[in-house]
Amino acid sequence: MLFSSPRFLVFLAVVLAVLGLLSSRTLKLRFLAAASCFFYAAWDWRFLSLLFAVSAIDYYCAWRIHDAHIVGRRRAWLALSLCSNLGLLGYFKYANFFLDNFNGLFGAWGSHIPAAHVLLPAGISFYTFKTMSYTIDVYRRELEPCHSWINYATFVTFFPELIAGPIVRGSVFLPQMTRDIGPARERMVSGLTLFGQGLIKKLLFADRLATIADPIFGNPALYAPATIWCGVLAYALQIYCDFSGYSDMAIGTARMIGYDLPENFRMPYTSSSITEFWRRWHITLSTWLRDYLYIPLGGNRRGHLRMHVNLMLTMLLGGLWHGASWNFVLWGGLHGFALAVHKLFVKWRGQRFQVPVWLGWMLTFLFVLLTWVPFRARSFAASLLMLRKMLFLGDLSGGLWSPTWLRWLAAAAVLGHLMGWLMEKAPQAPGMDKLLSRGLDWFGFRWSALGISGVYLTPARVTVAGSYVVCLVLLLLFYFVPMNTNPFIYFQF
Amino acid sequence: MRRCLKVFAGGLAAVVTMIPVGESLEHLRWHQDPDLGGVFNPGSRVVWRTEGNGTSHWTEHGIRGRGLPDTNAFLVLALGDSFTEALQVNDDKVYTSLLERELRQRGIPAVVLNAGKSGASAADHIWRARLFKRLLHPSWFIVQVEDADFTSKGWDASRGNSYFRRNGTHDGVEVAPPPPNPEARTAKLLGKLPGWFSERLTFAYPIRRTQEFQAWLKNEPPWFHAPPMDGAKSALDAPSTAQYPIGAELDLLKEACGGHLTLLLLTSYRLGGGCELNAAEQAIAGLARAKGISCTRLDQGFGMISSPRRSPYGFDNLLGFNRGHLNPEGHRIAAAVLSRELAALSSVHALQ
Repeated sequence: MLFSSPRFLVFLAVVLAVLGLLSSRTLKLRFLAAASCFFYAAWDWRFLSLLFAVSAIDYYCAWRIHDAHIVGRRRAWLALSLCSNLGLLGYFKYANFFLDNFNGLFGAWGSHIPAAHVLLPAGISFYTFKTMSYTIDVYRRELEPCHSWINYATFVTFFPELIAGPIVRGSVFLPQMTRDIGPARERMVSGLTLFGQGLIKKLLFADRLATIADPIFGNPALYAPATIWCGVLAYALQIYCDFSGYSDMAIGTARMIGYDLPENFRMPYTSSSITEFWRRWHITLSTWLRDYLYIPLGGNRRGHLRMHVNLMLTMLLGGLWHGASWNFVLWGGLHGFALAVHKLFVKWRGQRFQVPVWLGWMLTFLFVLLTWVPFRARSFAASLLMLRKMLFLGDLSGGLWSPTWLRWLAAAAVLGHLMGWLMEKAPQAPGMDKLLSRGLDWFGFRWSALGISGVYLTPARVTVAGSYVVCLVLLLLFYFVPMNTNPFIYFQF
Repeated sequence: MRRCLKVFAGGLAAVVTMIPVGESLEHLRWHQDPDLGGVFNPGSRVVWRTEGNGTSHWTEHGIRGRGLPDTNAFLVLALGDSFTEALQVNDDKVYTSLLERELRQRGIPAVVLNAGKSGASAADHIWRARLFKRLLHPSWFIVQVEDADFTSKGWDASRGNSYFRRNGTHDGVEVAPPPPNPEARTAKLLGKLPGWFSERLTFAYPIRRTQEFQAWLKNEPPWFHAPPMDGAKSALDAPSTAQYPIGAELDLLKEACGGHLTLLLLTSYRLGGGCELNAAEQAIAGLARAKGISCTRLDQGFGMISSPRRSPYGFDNLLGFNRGHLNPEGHRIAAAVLSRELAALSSVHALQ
């Protein structure tokens, strides 16, 4: 049940209607948990039991951690929780990867272990990280364990972010569970607007860009270097529109129900350094890795060398989190290396000079673009082939294809980013702030800060210009959206 | 009330904006012929920019580019699917126009008519060849095919075209008439709109899109569909691998064309000019030869591709290099291989 499918819209309408009809908060939560299970079962009902098992183990462990007064016992319960989560993740996601590598390494000596027939349960990477953060927070005494099993089950199974995030921590979600949920006018308007923005990103941009990127990544040997560059640019825009579109839809859906989910993207392609990029890209994952992996490893408190090792380890594991493939490890490693180089550069530079923002932006964007190659390519060999072609090394033969759509979509993306960047910088420039507010007001929109969910464009009043823009976007969606919608990219992780 | 008026004004302005946008992409007017199915209206001009950038003109019976010639002409009729219909390129760049020119240069004063129809399969070509034989009495047929025309596509009853079915005997195959076309409803609805509106994509398109949407809803997988645990493909995912009686299908095609036909087999292109025929393509080419059917393959002209960075397939505004319909380069090659084949056939010279 994709967020962009009509089936989901019907499901959401029913959920909101029932939540509006129910009066008791407990009943609403029970219904929400049941609806979330139904949503998950529509993906694959057989793994519902796994979801229950993970929730039950962590709920129980959290209470045992909370009740235990001896440090050793607390640690043991935490270890049990972490082992169960990581064990399940390791088995379902990485079993065949490790077996393949084992067979590859020791196959020459005649040792061969047959591949395991395992399917990847939908959303396992996301919900195990969510439940792990809960038990760790309880262990650190930063969070009280949840008193009600229903509340906890609702937190774990909450359908808007169950399959592909944002990764919501217990400390963010559980305190919200005391509020009354259900459709309320103001939340519905902002939630629907966010959902619409996400839908536009997904259907009008991501799915269209996929038709450019897919053939090029599918058979890179066929294409000339210029075409490979086009394909990689298309993929960079596609993955951003796809994942941030999904996140917007998840945040919008949660908002309509009555909860706030944390912001996941903040115009990452406007970053002028790789460190800034990771503050803006998949924010809930990068902060999770920072708080539960990088800092416990020692962070930057144990000297420079150790800091760089920690950074590299965190990014390698972050890469591996995306999927059981050396390509993802390479992607994580490249980002870890770039982060380390950036930190060294900043330290060396000190107060000596400032790098122009445009140069920083160009270098960052170029690096991010190049690293999307191993992330998306089918194999390690395909990544190398593409990178060699992009850097004009080796065999440069191939067909030229300059997709017309890409120019329009890239222009729209640049315009969107430029507008977002202006909005971000406007508060520091009062004149610009006034001008932008007046411009937005003419269209009947305003720039609203939606708490932890970030800053978004929301409707303020009805104007002819605003109606024109909204209707035009709806017509464009109707005319140009491909009927066979692709699944969201991050569902595979 | 004031709010509603504002929304209405904005909405109306958006619709007006979309008229030129739609016009710039597609401009087509067609009707449902009781025998031939959906064909473009006689005298209509079709603009197609969603893939390639072509303008085509259509006359009676869904024939592209020119009026019907007098009966004395040596008439060659090209049947095929969207690769022959070729909305992506202008009239003078389609292989049928180029072929006519090349044949004349070789001393064969033929008139080549293009009756390509999007979505048609080998079964449909047989059905239409029988009709056109009665209507136009062509001296020779060119039948453009791909491997799927004789396999999956040819046997698919859900496409709204004619299709192959078993007729009870061991290897017996027959062509079933086209089932009631779902697009007929679109044509009927469009027919009710005044001319100017029915021609405008902005107004015609919603009807088509709604039907696409309905079809999409119908094709959604069932609730709680789960793939098997062992990772094998389920019945829902796995395509049928049944063997198709290509020989019997070719017999039917030969019979429908009165034995006067040349197959144009569109084969896939590999960078640098190479081509490896798949099993179905090999079967079609081999069986055609065995049955005495003239058969030419596009790969026979791959050596004529002007640069290794070009492909006979694909356009810049859709899908990708080497993917999609024949581009002008592809049409040029198709015309060249066909003219070579036709000029070499003694039967063609005898029929003139």
